[in-house]
Amino acid sequence: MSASESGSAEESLPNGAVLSKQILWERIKIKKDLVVSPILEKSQVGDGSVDISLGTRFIRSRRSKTTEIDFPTLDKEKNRSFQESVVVPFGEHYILHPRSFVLGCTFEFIALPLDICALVISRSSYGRAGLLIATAMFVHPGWRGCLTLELENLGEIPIKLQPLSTVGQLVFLSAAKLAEQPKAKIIPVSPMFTTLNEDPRWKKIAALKQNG
Amino acid sequence: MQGIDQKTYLDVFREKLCSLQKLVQDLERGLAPPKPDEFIKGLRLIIKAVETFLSRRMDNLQTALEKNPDALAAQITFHAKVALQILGSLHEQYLPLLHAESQHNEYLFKPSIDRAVGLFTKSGFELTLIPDFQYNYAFEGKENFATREVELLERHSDPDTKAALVKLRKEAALKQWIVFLHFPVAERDSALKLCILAHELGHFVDETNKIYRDLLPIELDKDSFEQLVDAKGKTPAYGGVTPKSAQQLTFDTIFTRAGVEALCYRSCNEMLERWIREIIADILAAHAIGPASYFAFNDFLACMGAENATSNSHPAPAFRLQLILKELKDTMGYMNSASAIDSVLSEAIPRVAAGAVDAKYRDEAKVVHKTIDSNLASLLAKIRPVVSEYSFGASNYRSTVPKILERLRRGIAPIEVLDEVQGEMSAASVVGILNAGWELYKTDTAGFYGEFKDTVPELERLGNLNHLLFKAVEASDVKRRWK
Repeated sequence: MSASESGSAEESLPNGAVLSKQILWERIKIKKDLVVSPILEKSQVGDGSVDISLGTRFIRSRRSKTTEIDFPTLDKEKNRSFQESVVVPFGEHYILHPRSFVLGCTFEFIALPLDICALVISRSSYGRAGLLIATAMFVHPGWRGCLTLELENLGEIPIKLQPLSTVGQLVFLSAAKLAEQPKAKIIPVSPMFTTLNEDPRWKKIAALKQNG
Repeated sequence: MQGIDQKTYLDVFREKLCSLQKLVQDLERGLAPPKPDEFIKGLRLIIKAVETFLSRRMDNLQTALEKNPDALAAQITFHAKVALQILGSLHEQYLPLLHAESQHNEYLFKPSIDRAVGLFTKSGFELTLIPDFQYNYAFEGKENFATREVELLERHSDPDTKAALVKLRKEAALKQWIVFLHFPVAERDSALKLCILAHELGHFVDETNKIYRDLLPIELDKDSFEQLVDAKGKTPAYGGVTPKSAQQLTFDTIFTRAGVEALCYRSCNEMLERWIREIIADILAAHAIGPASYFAFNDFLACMGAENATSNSHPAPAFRLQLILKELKDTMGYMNSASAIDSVLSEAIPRVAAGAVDAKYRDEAKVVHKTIDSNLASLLAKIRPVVSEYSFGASNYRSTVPKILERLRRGIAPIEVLDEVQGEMSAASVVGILNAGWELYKTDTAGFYGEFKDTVPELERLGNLNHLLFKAVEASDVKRRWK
């Protein structure tokens, strides 16, 4: 059943329009093609947005012999030498020191339908304390998984990060519908480190150098 | 040990005490939360009790045997040796368990496991998952492990020392059970394989509810027992005699039929108890998690490359698989439809039955197998009531798993499902999630694997399926407990 067939509030929305609370619930519960799960409290879903919270898994950097992050030559094994995964159980916390950085992920599993995209927005209350949660803010239609959050403490005082605390929002916007569900390379449920080494551009850049 | 003076014993005792205290401290520091706090408290209690015991005993002995230095030296040496032995066993038996980690996937199962165990036992318990480098799943339950050691010391103490030890024990107020579930470290990323833990939890439920006591004794199968006694009687060196039992017999009795019969009776009954406890755990697991218990066990046996043979501790694998399938079919209502899961289970029945017939039963195993086989109906009837309230029967399966499976198939972690009556999203059942995972894995991987790019290797897709299951178990548990 498409939106137009259902006669829902969504019918005449232009691309880029922010979706209302009513539309979000319709897509979550009736069409079941939008997934933000679990929703622990109804108040999480607001007009145009859904609150998202911090998951239990983190990837933090550790001191190692790695001399630099060189994206074209980065591989999984190298990543592991300067980073480690940690699980912070519910009720415990992760201390993020000033000017340090850790990868976290959303507790909520998210699956976007083919005609909805989303933006990740930091919660301003955290922002005012110096916590930045995301730099890659755009989520494509059809994307599935737990979002990786790049958590950074820009302030002067350590910040306690608690799993399940509401650190941000997802703002949902209508989008031109994709023809088919994009195939996944991975459906992440924990933070993902960069896969920039797979960017085909590196080879082209290298070729430019070789060709003079 | 003769020739070692009392001073050396006391010196090494102090060194050992010191090194153990430091080791416990270091291991505890290295552990990530949630730590096995009760277990660590128990270890500390034992160390403190041994220290108190020896120092107080020495004070008292020095007063009592002041005028008899030789007796004093002998007594001090004796007590130091006892204390050293207890510290030694602490070192060997318990400290390796402090290597348990909680920062991996298995931790995500723990809250659900704790909740499930809480349904079956009223005793206080602390449960820790232990990754092992052996390919083995095992249950290790320690009832009052620290207080028992201290009580032993109390019994050999003078009134003053005893009072001090009682005070220490009461102050510690430890939980009754410390439970360790061992699993192969290589399977920490497999939510599917970790379903075997349901069997190990079955052992714990058996242990706390003493189910096996209601099932025993059973009269051994007469014919096969007679045959065993005849066969054993013909061999002067009775191969089945364990050194321990042999020591309790004399040459006069071992060569008589009555003597051989006594030995056979004992070894058969010991084996019978162990096998019955395995059957209890198998049946409890089958009821608790439904077909997932069969699939996990089946794959575990395949992974082990296990022979279809009995051992002292376990019945033949095919017999156990047959038992689980039979329970799923006859009692839990599976295999009476054309659904994918029922078809897979039904297809397994003749294969497993043939395996059960093929299994080799020799000597005591033959007696025990026949005994169990002829008493099976009454045994099962006594086990089922323990778990009937929580049994994941076919009707439960049909009302929960398809909705979960529908999400999983689309590459979505099935954390919540729509409750049609309430019109709200509610937490998916953990057992439903695990069964949906197995059904997908056993019947329809193509659909799920098709969600991935062609370049993604199949094993990575399977790994991703397991990660979705871990996530679903973790988050659905939070949803269920959220107030």
